[in-house]
Amino acid sequence: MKQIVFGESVQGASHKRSGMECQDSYKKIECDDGTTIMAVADGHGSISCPYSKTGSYIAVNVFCKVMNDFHDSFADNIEMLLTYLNREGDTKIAQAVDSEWKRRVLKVHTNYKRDVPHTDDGEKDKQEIFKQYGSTLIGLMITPIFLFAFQLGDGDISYVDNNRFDQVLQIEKILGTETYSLSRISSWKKAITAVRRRDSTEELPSAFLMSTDGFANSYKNEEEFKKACVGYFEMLKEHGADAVKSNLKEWLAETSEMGCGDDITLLIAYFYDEGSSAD
Amino acid sequence: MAETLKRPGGELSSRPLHFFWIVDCSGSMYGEKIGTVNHAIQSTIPEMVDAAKNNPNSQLLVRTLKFSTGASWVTPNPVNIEDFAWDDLDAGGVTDLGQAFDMLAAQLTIPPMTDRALPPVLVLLSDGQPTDDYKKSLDKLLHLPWAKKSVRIAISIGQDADDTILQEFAGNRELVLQANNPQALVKMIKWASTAASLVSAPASKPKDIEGSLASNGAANDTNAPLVLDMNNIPDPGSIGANDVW
Repeated sequence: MKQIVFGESVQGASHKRSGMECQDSYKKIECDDGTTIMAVADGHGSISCPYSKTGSYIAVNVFCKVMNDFHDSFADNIEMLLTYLNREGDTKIAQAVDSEWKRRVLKVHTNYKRDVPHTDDGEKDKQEIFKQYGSTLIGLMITPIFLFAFQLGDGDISYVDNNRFDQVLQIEKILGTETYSLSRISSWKKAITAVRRRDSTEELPSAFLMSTDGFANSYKNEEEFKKACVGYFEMLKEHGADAVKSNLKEWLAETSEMGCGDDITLLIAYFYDEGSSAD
Repeated sequence: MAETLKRPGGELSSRPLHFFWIVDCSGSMYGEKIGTVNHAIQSTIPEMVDAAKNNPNSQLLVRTLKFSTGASWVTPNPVNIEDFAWDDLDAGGVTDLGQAFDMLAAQLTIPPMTDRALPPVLVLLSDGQPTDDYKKSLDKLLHLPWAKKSVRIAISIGQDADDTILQEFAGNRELVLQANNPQALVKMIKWASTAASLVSAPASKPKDIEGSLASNGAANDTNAPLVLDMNNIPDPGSIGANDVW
């Protein structure tokens, strides 16, 4: 089995009109043992979150660092990591991400000498600082024997193969424009996770698509979003990853333009037989 | 050079933004009041069309609900703002506000609403006191997920209007706009219509993890205070007028 991981972020059509930079970030790490760690984050972009681009950048780096550290700690026995994540992944990983994100945000805020808000008691108002960097976060760790999925806030992690499409995590849908956020105190309580064992009979080719909510919100409904994910997978099979990669930015820009106008990030992990070509 | 390929399928669409005018057409609105409402809403349509053009990634859909003795839809289906035409309303009868809330609630459920819509905007114009038992209907309305997320504005017409009821609807005292004369009513209607342009260019916001409850028991997580800039609500005291309702 071979794999290729690639992605693209585009500034939303409405952000182009208002001159606001893209608030999304993504990151991937590919380890020697075939493990891949991927993260996508969507900074809120509202007036009260002026540094949310930085917040999303910190978020993807924190997820990749936390998961990479776990991966290294269990490098000799990846099965043990599976057991650990099954037992405590929903709390320990979420707490680690939450606290590290907040630590880094405070550090960045201090380093850049940005205004420090204070509470009525004269204390540093950390909550108010976190809010200025508000971001969602979705993450995936795909090892040779299992996958671990993480989600805090909106966004989608979708799986596609020749026979099925499914959402790896089923999140609570919040109407309107609100989302759960790393910026909230105890944000880890709203994180959801899933652990799935991979087996040798796993269908190939297959793909994981991680996307910010601007992608799904640009489609008419859930069914059309599903069609799009399957369409990307068909493109990968038919034209190869390089062709998809070189067209991706334009496709996403068009999607935002004709859809909801939000920033869009799509990060794809494509798995295929060694005999076939991905490029 | 890499091959240029057509974007994979899946039908794209802008996000719908539902805007509701909810107009009191009871007998006390007869004459100048309903005439001013007709004129003011008619005159805001071009501005709403312009606002919609500036936000092509949302689809502004407008509907009018009137209530007096009973309630009914003037526009039964959502109409794109570019195709929306205001039909002048007449006044007469009692004030069945509860029935209007029931009809509104039926439209704010999913379906017919979709979960990918933008927060709806509800603008209630009233000068009187309800004659039916509106409380149960309002409570039911405000417990609907989309109603909780809606931007709710009430325009209080005349000095005798019961602002307590309008405040229960709006969920925020500042979003009960005072219109004690024709000039103020025109300004308040124009201001309320701008809510659509603000909601149609949204950014994500962090959701409170611990929800809070308003005094009426409805979840107090309306978007309104976050979406609208309430600093620029016209000041009724600064609006000169020859006559006062």
